[in-house]
Amino acid sequence: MAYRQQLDYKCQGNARAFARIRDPSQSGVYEIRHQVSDTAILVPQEDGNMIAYCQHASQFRQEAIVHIHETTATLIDKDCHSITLRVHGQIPDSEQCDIHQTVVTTHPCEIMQNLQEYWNQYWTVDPDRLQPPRSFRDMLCNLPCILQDQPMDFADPKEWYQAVKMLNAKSAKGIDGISAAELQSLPCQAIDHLREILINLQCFPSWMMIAKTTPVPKVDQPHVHEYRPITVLAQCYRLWSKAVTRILLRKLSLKMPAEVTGFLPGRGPADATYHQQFMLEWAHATQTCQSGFALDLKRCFNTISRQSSAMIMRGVGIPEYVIQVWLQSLNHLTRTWTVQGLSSSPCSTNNGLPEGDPMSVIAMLTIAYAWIHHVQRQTRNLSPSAFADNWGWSTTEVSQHAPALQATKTMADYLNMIIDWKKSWLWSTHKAHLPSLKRVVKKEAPNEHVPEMLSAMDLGAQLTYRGNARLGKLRDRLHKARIRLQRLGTHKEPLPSKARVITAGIYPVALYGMELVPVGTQHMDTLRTEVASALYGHSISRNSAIAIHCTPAVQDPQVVLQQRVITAARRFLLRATATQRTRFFMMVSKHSGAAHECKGPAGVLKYHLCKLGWQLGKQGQLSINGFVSFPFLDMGLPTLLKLCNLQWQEHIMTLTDRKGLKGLPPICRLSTIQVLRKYNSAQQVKLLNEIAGAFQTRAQQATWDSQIDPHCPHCGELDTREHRALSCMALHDLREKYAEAFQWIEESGSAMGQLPVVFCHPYRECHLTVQWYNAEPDIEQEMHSRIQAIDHTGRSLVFSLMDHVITRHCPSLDTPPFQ
Amino acid sequence: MDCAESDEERCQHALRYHQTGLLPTSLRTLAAGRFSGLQDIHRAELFAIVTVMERYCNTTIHTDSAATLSQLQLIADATEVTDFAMAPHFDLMIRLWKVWNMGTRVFHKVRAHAEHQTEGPLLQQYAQLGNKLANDSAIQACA
Repeated sequence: MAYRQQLDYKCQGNARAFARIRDPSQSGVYEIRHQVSDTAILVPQEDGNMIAYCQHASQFRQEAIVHIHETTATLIDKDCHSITLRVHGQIPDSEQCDIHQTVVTTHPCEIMQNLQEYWNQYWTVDPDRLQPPRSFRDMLCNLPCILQDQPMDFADPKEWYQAVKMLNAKSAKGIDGISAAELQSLPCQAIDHLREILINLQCFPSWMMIAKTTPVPKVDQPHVHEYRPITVLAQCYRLWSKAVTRILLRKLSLKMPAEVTGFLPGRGPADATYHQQFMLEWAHATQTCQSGFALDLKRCFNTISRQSSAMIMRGVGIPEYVIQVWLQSLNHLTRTWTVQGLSSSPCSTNNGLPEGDPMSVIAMLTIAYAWIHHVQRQTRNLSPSAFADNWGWSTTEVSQHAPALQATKTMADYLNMIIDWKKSWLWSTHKAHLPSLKRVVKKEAPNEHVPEMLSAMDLGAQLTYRGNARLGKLRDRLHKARIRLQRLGTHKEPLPSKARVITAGIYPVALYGMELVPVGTQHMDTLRTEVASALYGHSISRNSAIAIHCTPAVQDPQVVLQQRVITAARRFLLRATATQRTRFFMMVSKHSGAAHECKGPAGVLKYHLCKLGWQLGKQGQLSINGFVSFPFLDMGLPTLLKLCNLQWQEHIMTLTDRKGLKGLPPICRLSTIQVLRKYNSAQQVKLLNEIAGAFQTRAQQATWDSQIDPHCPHCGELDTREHRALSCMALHDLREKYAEAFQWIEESGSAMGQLPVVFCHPYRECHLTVQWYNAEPDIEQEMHSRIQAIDHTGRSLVFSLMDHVITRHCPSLDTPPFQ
Repeated sequence: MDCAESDEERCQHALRYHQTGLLPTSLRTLAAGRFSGLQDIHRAELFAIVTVMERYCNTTIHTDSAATLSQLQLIADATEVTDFAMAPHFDLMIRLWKVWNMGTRVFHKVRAHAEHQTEGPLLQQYAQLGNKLANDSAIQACA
């Protein structure tokens, strides 16, 4: 076991350790629940049974219990108009009753049939709906072609090598039976050959376009609509799609308007939500009423009309070769369900794009672009945004919602897409816009209820539209992280593996989205205790903050959160416009730092800066103490994070109630860890437990339990940490080997007896300030003038560096230069 | 500072070092000292490059730090400042970015602590002696 763990740690990047903390994977598809209901007229019979007359009697089955309100009944017989029931209990005394039945289908063939019947409504539509109307073509005439005249070489061998490399080696095999790992083991010549074959195809043949479709349940006991159809296409098609898409995405990322987010580099969900919450925060700061819609598209990819999306792609400027191969191949697409190792017969499709196909991503991006353009043409002063199947907009002009919603509905209709009103919502930063918003919904979606949300989870982050910021579903994330930590605590992994799992597998889960909402100290305190328990086992007396502070390769959750907040703010500001930067800095500088006043990322940044004792001015100048300040955006991120660590180091001793630790200098994390690294993993665990006070002394135990003698059983002195380390006679022979060190502790008055760590230097703040303002070294004037004279002649000056030393010598060396 | 007038002279200096153990008189320390900000070796390396590049336009710089060269590559590949915004020591990299295109900039990687090696071309050995002198001066400056 130990060897396996070591192998996992040293050679496999802790893959096994990571796998063990994740949620157990979803079980296979063994059943489908299906609920049927009807209103029935119940007529009692002489034999005690009941006949229920209803409209859809045939949908009820004999093998399942029928419910009449809360009362159960057994179905004995049925005909076209009625079912005969044996009732087990009292039924309500009324003429009409609601009856319902949950049918569980378990036979794999029936499951596949049910799934096919359900999804067929999206995948096979009436031929009339396949061709978009004339108005759609008119709309496309106004669409600016953003990829016009863009050079694209789809036969570039380097792109194909890279595409092969980027394939997921562990992905399932498609109908062609080729795995990604097999393609990755091919030599370049073979990839070249494959490229030539694929690039010359007019379209992929029908046999290669059989999509293996695996249903993945979204919930524990799923109904037929609660499955996600995972599509596995042939590996060859996937490779072609990947290679083509890589080139297209690179071009699109440069040309797509900022409103289109998702799938493009640097436009991830975190960036999108950060920007949106910043806009909301600015609206609150300027007391501007802003409102908007967040719309969800039902079964998004599966409903999209192929013809319409191909026309949009053409309008955007995607090369005709790509569109033709893609469209004709999709026209050959058939789907076969895979359940419990069995496969259904392939069923043809004429609508929808396969989810997971890189070309579907291109289609979705171009659709989003077309929608944004269409909405903007129909409205004024409205900011739309599209992230895959999440579309939305915001505006300060309430009158613009009606044309925006109308344009969106039209666009959805053109593409056979369906707006999922149940998952959509409207929002407003002030109540003033609400009546108009509701009127718009009533007009455009009269049969739907679209709720107003004060705060909602969107793209994985909790957005706050109105009122105080709430953690909302972020609590679930913290809960999930705690479960993972508890799992990790039960595993016997070595300390470095646990540290790695916490840093890369638990903190990202727990802290995602917390850049937008102020998180109370109590949540971080709980998380800290759980982290320490996962690393070192359960202890009621250990100081978790000290334990984590001295642990190699893992940091305190509070520090990680602060670092994430700083990193996110810096990332946003570096990409923001000058106006947005000024607004952000102004909001931070004016904010009180109180949690209840946080309306967005600027407030949250101030909240955390206050915890660190830092100030950010309206010009973007960050002051970390009375002497050191610098421009927030000019400073390198690692320096900021390091300063954050140093500040936490100062703060950490305030997190203990233990009298013996009060007033001690801060623990130097760097030096203490350097010493601890001299020991092996198991020894480190014991040492860190000792440092963090996990092992109670008798004096400590006696304060809680009067039956315990507080004196040392070996020498009779009061049993304290200092006594154990420095004066207990029973351990005298161990100390003898290090007499010099113990003498130094005694003479210097070091607190190492109380807390065996390396403490920070008393003049650390002075050192930091002096270093910060070190004068730049001067070059002797005469030498400088001479070198400058040579420089002006255009002759290259040659320098050699080592840390901070510069000399001059010859140019011709062993390695090729770059310029 | 390399006062050697020709490659021939440099080769002779390299040969002489292996016979006598004396560093070439043609190599001289230009400047040495601590820099502003948190002290770390990568920053020191980058700061030295800033010092040179801000003062002189046509430079050929030899460094034993691959990490520094990769940071410089980021600047060389960048089309705008934000391209290397997440790099460490962004403040220094902005300074380099401003002077990057003034004149000719050439960078070489040189092996560290290889001054005792007698294999390889003499010019390469001479470069390694430059690295040694830089190392000695750094140690002296920080002592």
